[in-house]
Order: sequence, then C-alpha cells, then structure tokens
Amino acid sequence: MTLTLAVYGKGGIGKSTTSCNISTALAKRGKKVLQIGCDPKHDSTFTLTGFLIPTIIDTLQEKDFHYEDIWPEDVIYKGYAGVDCVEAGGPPAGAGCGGYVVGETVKLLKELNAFDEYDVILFDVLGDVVCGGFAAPLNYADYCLIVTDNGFDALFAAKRIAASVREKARTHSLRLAGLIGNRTSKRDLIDKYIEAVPMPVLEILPLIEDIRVSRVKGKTLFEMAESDPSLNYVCDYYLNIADQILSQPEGVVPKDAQDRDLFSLLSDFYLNPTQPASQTKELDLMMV
Amino acid sequence: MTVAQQAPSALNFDCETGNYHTFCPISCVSWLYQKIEDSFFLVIGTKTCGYFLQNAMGVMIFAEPRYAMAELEEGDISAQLKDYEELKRLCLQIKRDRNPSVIVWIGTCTTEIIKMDLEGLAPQLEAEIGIPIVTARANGLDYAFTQGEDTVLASMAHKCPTSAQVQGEDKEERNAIQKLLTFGRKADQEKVESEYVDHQPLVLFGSLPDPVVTNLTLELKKQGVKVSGWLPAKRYTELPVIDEGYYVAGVNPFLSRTATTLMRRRKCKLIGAPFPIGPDGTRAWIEKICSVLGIEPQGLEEREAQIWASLEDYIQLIRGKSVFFMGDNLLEVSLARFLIRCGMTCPEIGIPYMDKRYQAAELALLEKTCSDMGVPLPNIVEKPDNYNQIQRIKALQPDLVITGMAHANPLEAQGINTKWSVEFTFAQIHGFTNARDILELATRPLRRNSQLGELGWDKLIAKDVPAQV
Repeated sequence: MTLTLAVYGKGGIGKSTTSCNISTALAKRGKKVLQIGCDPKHDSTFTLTGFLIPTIIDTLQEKDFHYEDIWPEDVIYKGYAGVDCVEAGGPPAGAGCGGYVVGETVKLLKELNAFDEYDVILFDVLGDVVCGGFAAPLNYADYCLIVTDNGFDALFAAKRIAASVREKARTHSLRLAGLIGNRTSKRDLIDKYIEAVPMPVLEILPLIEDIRVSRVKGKTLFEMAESDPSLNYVCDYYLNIADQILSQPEGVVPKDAQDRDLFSLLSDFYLNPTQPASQTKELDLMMV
Repeated sequence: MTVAQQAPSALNFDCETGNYHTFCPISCVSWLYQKIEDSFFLVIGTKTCGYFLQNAMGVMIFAEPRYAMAELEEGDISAQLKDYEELKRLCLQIKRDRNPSVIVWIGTCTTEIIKMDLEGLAPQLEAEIGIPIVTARANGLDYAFTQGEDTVLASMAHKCPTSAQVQGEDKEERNAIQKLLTFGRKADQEKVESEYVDHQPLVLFGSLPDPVVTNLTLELKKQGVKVSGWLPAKRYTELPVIDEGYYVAGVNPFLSRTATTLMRRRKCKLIGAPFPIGPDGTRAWIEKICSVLGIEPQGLEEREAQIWASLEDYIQLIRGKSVFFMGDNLLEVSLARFLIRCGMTCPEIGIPYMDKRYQAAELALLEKTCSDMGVPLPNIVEKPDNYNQIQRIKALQPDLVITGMAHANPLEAQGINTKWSVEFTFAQIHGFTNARDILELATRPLRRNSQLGELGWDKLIAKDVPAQV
C-alpha cells in the first residue's frame, strides 16, 4: 500500500528543506519514495537533485500538451538516496492559475501509473491552501503534515490548513499527522495553539545554521553528514519524524476553530502576557 | 498565411493556436446514453451546459431521458454547499426514479476550474448508494468534441472486470439478459465456437450503434476472429472482461486516452490499425487484426472491389474535386483518406488533436493512398486557427469544405460548398456497407447544386455567388 503525505505550511517556513530531509529519512528506512513539488517556484526537490529539474508543465509544453507522449521517465528524476523527484511547475509569476497546474500534475501522474509504484509519496505544497487546486494533493493523501514555527503567522496559516483537512476528511481517509516545529527553540505559542486545537507535535527542530547552508548547497543533511558526522544529530530529527509516520499513527481530524477566536488567542499571547482571566471577572462583577 | 505551393514528399504537421474550436465534448452524452441502455448520465455544470444539451440533443426534459443536468449555482461554486451531499441527493433521486446499472458523472469546464473532486467523491458515494459511478472529465478546456466519448470510455476501462473477478461471481447471472434473448439457441453455440480460430482474446473499443457492432463483429467472424467483447457494451452489466495481455483494437480515431489507459493501466496490447471507415479502411483494419492474430484473411480483396463498384455512381460526382477539412470531430484523417481514394484531392486536414502514435497506421494508409492515387499529400494542421484557415480556403477555393456548424453558413454565403462535420459523427459510417452513407453525405451539397441548376435556379447555386472579400 502506498502511504501518501502532504506537507503544508506558511511560505518560507522551510517546507521544502524539511520535505527533502523527511523523504531521505524514509528512503534510509528502506522505502521507495516519490517527492512531488507542487510549487510554481519549482525548487522543492532542489536539495535532493542538486539542480532545478524540468517541470511537468515544461515537458507538457515541449510535447504540445500531448499527454500520450509523456512517459514516467520524462518527468521523474532520481535524487539523493534513490528518492524519485517530480516538479509540477506552474505558469509564469503573476499570470495564469497555479492551482490548476497542481491539479493537472496530480491527474497526469495518476494516468502515468506513478502512484502505484511507491511505498511513500510526499507532496510538498506551496504555502497556504488558497484554493481547490492547491488542496488537490489532500484528495490523495493519507496524512497531512504542517510545518510551522513558534510565531503568530505560521500558526494562523496552520489553522487554515487544519480547516481544509477537516473539510476533506469528510469524504476522504485523510488525517492530520501533526505539526513540525521548525527553526525554533521555544514552543510556548505552539503549545498555546494545540491547547485550543488539539493535534500531535511530531518534532521541534531548533534553529540550526547547517540546515540553512544545506539548502543553498543543494544537499540534504544526510548527504552532508556523510562527510561531517557531527551533523548526524540533525538527521535524527528527521528519522524520528519518518519513524512516526511509518508507524501509521491514528492522526486527528482537527477541531473547528473560529478565525476570530484563534486570532485573539494568539495575539493575546503577545499583547496581554498576563492571563486575561481577571478581565472577565471584572465583567462578571459589573453585570449584576 | 501560408499556402502550400509544392507537393510535399512526407506528411507535414502544423500546430496553430492550441485552442479547440469545436463542438462541446459533453455532447457525447447524446450517443452514449442511447448506446448503454442501462446507464444514467449526470452532467455537472452550469445553466449554459444545460441549454447546450437541450439544443444539441433536441430532447425536452419532459421526455424523461436517461440523462440530466446537475446545475451548479453560486452556492456550489463558492463551496457554501457540500458537494457530496448535493450529489448524493441527486443520485438517490436517480436511483429511486430510474434505477440504472451505472451513473456516469460528466464533468464540465466549471467543475474543472473549481477543482470539484469528482473522482474522490465517487467511490464513497457509490458504496453508499450501491450503484457504480463512472466519472469522466468531458470538459471543453482539455478535450475536443468527440474526445468526450474518449474520457468516458477511458474511465469505464477501469471498471472492466478481470477474468478472476468474474469467476468469483456467478457467470450465468452476468449474461442473464443475453441468455434470455438467445433462449433455445444453446445447441447452436457449440457449433459456432468451432468456426473461430483459437487466438488470444480480442476486445474492441469505441461506441457504435448496435447494427454496426453486429456488422463489424460478423465481418471479423468471417475470418475466424472472435470478438470477446466491446467497450462499451449495450449494457453496463456486460462490460467486457479485460486481462493483462489481451489484444485491444479501436474503431474510432478519437479514442487515444482510452487506448493509452488500456495499454498503461490494463496492460493490454493495442493493435494499431487504420480505422474501419470506408471499404479501404475496413479492409486494412480487418487485415491488420488478422495478421496480429496469425490468420490469413480470405476474400477481402473481392469484398472491397465489390463495394467500390457499388459506389461508382456517387464517386463520379466527386472525382477530381477537392475537399478541405476545417477540423472538428477527429474523424478527419480517416474521412480524407477515404475521399482521396474516391478520387478527390485534399489540400488541408484540420484536426483538433492528433495522437500520432494511436493514428500511426491511419496516417501511413493516408500516405500510401495519396501515392497510389498520384495526388499531393495534405497538410495536417492541428488545433487550427479558423481565421488563417478561412484565408487559405479563399485562396484555394476548394469544391467542398467539411466544417463545424459555426462556419458553414458564412462559407456558403461566400460561395463555398460546405458539409457539417457533426453529421459524420452521428451517421453510421463504419464498415464495408456504410461507405455509401459517407458518400451520400459528402455529395449532398454537390447534388443539390446540380439539381438546382437543372431547375434553372442558378441564383441559388453557391458556386455562382461572387466570392466576397
């Protein structure tokens, strides 16, 4: 059976880097992995392949949109540790419909039979779930993973993603596997958030300069650790996430949280560090 | 604007705008719902799709046909309503009123753009209501006119059982209706079996009216070829068994997705043959199937010659004349090949989509036909730009233009004879005997002119109207 994962999170939070390292970790555990970059920026799998691979849209264009002329080997490239990589691509910046392209990619890969041949398929999706197209990977996924930091914006984005998981879970076997805290040593706001919307936290990664460097070098942490064993401890974070996923956790269907409630919950954390409980008490006293 | 001045030595392919200027592919409902008698087609789209269907099919909703529109409204598009619940409500109603063996959901441009996840919703809903649901994205963004059928058949190919699955259920029950109709003929059946050569099972795909299906099946039977099944069959419950390694052959040139699906997903072997349109195509089709199955075909040459002789009265009308295809229903290459064999010339074949691999044998036959007849090869223009085509038509002044409905009247007004391409889609054109019907259609505008001429109504003859620029 193929295990399908979809990684979401606020833009620039480190989804692609995290995805590549999770894919590698899964491959290190002996799984056949396909990573699908669903971002018009098409740099999702850069860390695995070391170069920007041609996108599906490029390939389709080259073949005058003749689907029957496209074979898996035209769009699937081998990356580090045997992870297969695909980039959806998209329209030029500021034009067309990116979501449409993501939907098309998923459709094409399905027609190519690509989905049946892997143990794990990982979708690395751009930022937020902005429309039905970018939510398309959720139609196929068993688990959604959300990458976040300990900040307000990323958690607010997580809320939106959780809501779309909730929506899709009505008709699909989709569950939220949990949050991955990235580039943060503190997790107080994350805790605050999961208090309101209960969900597992898979891992919290501190801010590690080598992860940032690995991205620029086009190498996964695993590849860098080959020459520098002092980095092995970083790999362990990703192996831990991989192991949790492979154990096929129960996951959650996130609870519905109102935008406004969550907004005040998270902003209160910054604005009113003291508990706002006293205020309600006062109100209670006034209303007799 | 380019006009081919010199006769090219190999087929030349151009691709123009990349747009499909064709009839909407959801129109496939009109012939598929009649073909599959126990089906129900639900088109999920906007009011415009509904108006189109009503107009195109000429059937009013009161007639209770086996198709309907699920009309998307603002609430659906802005996702305020739960699409699963809405579709469930409609499908339960269909089950209650009509109880079909299958419901086919036809996606449209709107469901495509709002990314309505029909494929994802179908499995759960079919389990809940207990009727299989086939989903086909027959939208006009991705597909041209007849490719609507292609999307439905490609989707249905997934639902064909394997022989292992059929053995599980009761075999008798599967063909219950068939048995009922052939009651008392069991003794004959044994005898019939011996008329066939022993070969790997062959499944044909493409939707054709039942008389044509019988006709082609019998033509193959004459050669000892047994057709194991047709996709689609007359009833959904009789979908053919498809196992890995089966041979499949198409009867329609527009079924490239179905062919690809059968090869890639069901691991079938595709017999790449020209299509059985016209006596030449039908003969080549049977010969190719026979050669793959290791059978020496008998009497095909005489059969073809006999048909050609019977067509002579029509052929006299068109011999030496020229025909131009603007491109609409993807039958263009096959029709052009047949008309060239009849003695016509063809400067351009416009076609919305060209799968060169699936149509390879047909293209090869076209090339051979041109060299046999000593006429120049046509220029094949994929996704043609109508504006450029009209310039070329004006320059070439062909005797007949086969075109979509939109351009027929304007061209007539400019003194060009036209024939609606859509008529070739709906007429029975496959097989040896139906070749006459193709020529009946193709020669009608020419015959009309000559008849009008005999009556002395010269002003009504398109040819004599001065061409406007």
